[in-house]
Amino acid sequence: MIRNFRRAQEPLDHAELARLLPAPGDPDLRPDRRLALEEHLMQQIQHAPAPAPEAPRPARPRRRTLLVALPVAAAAVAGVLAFQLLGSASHDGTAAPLTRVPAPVVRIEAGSAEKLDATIRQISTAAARQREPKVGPGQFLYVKSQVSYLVTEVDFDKNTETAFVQELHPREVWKSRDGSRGYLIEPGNSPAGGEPLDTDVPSHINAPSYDLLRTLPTDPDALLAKIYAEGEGKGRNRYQQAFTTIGDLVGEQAPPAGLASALYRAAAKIPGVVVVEHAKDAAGRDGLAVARTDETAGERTELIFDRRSFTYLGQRTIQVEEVKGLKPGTVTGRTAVIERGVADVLGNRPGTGGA
Amino acid sequence: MFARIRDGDPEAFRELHAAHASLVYRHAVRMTGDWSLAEDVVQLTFLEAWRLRGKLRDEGDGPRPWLMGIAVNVLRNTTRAGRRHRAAMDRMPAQETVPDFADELVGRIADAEQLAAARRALGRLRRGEREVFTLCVWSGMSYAEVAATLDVAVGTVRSRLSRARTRLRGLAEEELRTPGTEPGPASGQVRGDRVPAARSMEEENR
Repeated sequence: MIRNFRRAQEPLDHAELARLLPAPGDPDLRPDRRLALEEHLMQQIQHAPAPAPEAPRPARPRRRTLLVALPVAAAAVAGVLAFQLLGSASHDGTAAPLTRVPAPVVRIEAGSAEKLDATIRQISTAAARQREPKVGPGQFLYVKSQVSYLVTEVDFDKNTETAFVQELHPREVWKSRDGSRGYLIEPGNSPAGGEPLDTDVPSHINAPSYDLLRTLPTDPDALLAKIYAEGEGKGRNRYQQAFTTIGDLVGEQAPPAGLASALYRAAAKIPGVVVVEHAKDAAGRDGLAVARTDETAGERTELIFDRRSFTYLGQRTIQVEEVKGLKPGTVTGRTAVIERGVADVLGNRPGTGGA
Repeated sequence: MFARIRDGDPEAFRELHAAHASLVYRHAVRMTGDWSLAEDVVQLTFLEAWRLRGKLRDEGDGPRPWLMGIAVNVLRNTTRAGRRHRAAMDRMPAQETVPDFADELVGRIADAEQLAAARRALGRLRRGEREVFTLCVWSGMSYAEVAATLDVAVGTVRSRLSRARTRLRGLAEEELRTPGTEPGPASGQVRGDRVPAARSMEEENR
């Protein structure tokens, strides 16, 4: 056999190889399917706390449970944490679990599209007149809310899941203007004294920052076009994704007046958005809601507004169709914004000094 | 990117999935001939990547070879990887029925025959040759990448590919001599890589 040393380092003729045994078929992972797999992966890896990969583990605790909350109203969209680590029997440093309460079940009031235009006009006019907190360089936006979410408890040993609703509890969040630094105090979700929320993931439209909100267009059509474009390939449904994004942009945020006004006008342009006459936020305040039903999940996300001042109060998610044993009318998530302010020091409440 | 993966930044894994899930999937379909199983392989690969993230080294242009190396190991022993991540795999999103994708269905049936034929041919190769061949020729990865993937020298990649070529040429000649016959049945078995519960096409596409 004559060896050809000159060619020994050169690649072989791949065309010939491919002829000898052509690649069979053209198996493509459909984009929607890949996204479903991506969500599944994110849910699995976010069950685990970040550090300690492949480290020698101590003997497994007899019973390992993780509590994961579906932050439905706040940010239950692809692109944001879909599941939130709440605490675990096998990890110390995390908070004691919250008391379980029966999920509230409410009468489902049908939404109407008729009053949408008039209602949106009132809400967006009110938003345009509002003064949002001004966060200076080095300062932090502080938002205090009252929240309760549906929580799924996963027992890895028995491989069982149980769902329950957390008792209503306060949640306080501090965020730097660019979103890179933050702090969270939330019983059941953070250790007793709170914990830092620092991140090197740049803020994006579903995890917005004070600065980011000031770069968005204030023309409703341009804004909606941007929201659709950013939501491309995320979530289950383009319109639902856009509506939830709007919820993210007003929720624990301080949108400038022009943007807030544009956001509500944009919401009205999303197909399927309706007005619901009565919706209670997590503080028990009865308001009117701009809402949209996610047919796939059988749930309706509601942005709740004061019925006189038309200011934003909070969000609520209710089950409208029975899914996974959740009866129609079950409230799976509630939030209410109690206070927005500016803090000088992470973890210090506004007006309690620091700088 | 390397550091973010090692540090367990979930967003880095999201990006990793977006960038490479399709590559892993195509490779897995062609190696197993089973679409559903290929999805399991994709997820097991990423779950293993999460578990092993601390072992990623700053080598090469990106994490692709490292990830494909994990995929190759998952394919070598899918059941073992499956056991390790049983709870996670039990929660895999269900395959929807796909009545709207009639074209895809037809495509799959045609592909199934091709896949079966290719798998028979692959079965004539040694495992090392088979891995090098599919990664280089079917997935279009460079020799250096495949060397990193399989943790062997670049020269080994080349020599395995060369041996694969020799065997495949022999196979082609064999087929010419005896037209219409299937390649030998016993040797057509892919050693050690058979998965116990391959789902039937009917079941999967219902």
